[in-house]
Amino acid sequence: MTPGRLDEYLRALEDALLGRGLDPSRIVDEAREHLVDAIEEGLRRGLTREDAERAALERFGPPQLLAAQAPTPRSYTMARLTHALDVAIGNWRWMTGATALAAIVAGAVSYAVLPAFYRSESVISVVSQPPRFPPSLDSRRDSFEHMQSITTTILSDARLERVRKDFGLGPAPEVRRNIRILVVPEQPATNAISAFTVGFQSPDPRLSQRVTERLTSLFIAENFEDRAMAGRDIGDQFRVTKAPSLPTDPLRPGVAKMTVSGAFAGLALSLVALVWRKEQ
Amino acid sequence: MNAETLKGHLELLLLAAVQSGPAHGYAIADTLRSRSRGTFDLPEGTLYPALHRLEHAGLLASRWSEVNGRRRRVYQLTAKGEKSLATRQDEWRDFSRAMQAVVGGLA
Repeated sequence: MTPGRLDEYLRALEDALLGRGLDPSRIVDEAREHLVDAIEEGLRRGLTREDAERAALERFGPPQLLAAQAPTPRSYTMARLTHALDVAIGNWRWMTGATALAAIVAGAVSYAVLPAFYRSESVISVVSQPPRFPPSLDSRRDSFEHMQSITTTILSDARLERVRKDFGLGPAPEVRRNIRILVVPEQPATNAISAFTVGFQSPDPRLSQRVTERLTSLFIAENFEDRAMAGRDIGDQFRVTKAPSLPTDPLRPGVAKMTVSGAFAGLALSLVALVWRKEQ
Repeated sequence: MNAETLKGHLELLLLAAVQSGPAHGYAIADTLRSRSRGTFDLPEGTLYPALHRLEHAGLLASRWSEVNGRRRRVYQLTAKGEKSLATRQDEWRDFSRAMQAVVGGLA
């Protein structure tokens, strides 16, 4: 027996594949299994070990020939992607199940772990003075812009500083994230050309109500000052049509996000697991 | 047989060799040799790049499996591979009939 003749061949094959930038592990493993079979068959036919090895290697062909015919790295990458897609399509039931399960688990865990928020809300109507009938597109746009400029003022760092201090709130960006100001659809029965809601969410329902009250009064005061400068009965007037109440229904803003993230994670993991299992 | 002639038909031969069931590379080489009574005698190592190409094309699937206590890569047809094989077999039958009609008469 020539010790290492097989190993020598496999090393040469590995070098030839690496020389072409190919991953040699699988083809070298397969070559080893094939050659061991061929040598065993030669021994069964009565050849000496040396002759059996020589015959097996000759029949297998030179390493350079194999390396030259191996798929190129680019087609290999594309093939892996196509393969992953095939696996995903072929196992869609399994993947859908894994995705749904991961989403449910992530949703349930975040429901149990993440804090619940309470949001109090007030509604402020914007009434044009003197009344304009019918409310035109221009007047709605003006009142919207008016509301926007007041919002920008109130949400500025300088204005929020006072609110933060009074209520012991966190940094300004965090406070802004918890404030929600939304335009509500026009109410045709009144002469309000638009209305908007002001809301603040906090894990403490009482705090959310108090901060909303403060923000609402800031809007009213700012509007009052604007109108005082322009002449009392001219321009849009802000009126509180619904005062902030103490919220009772908890919101769980993180749960939906975590559920979606869980679904994506489940999808990705199940795809990786499937492709990995197929490779084994 | 001339290796180049054989190479043009290698994919069809490999697909046909695993038609009856999953097989590893050594068994596939053995099937080609024995069914052709020794006529198809390629360098056996070149079957592997061809098998990998067929797998990359989605016509074959493979997995490691234990056969007689040894770990071997076993290849089998995918649904796409079965369809492709059926088409290629039809084409081959037409081709060989036509070849036989033209060339066979001279023999």
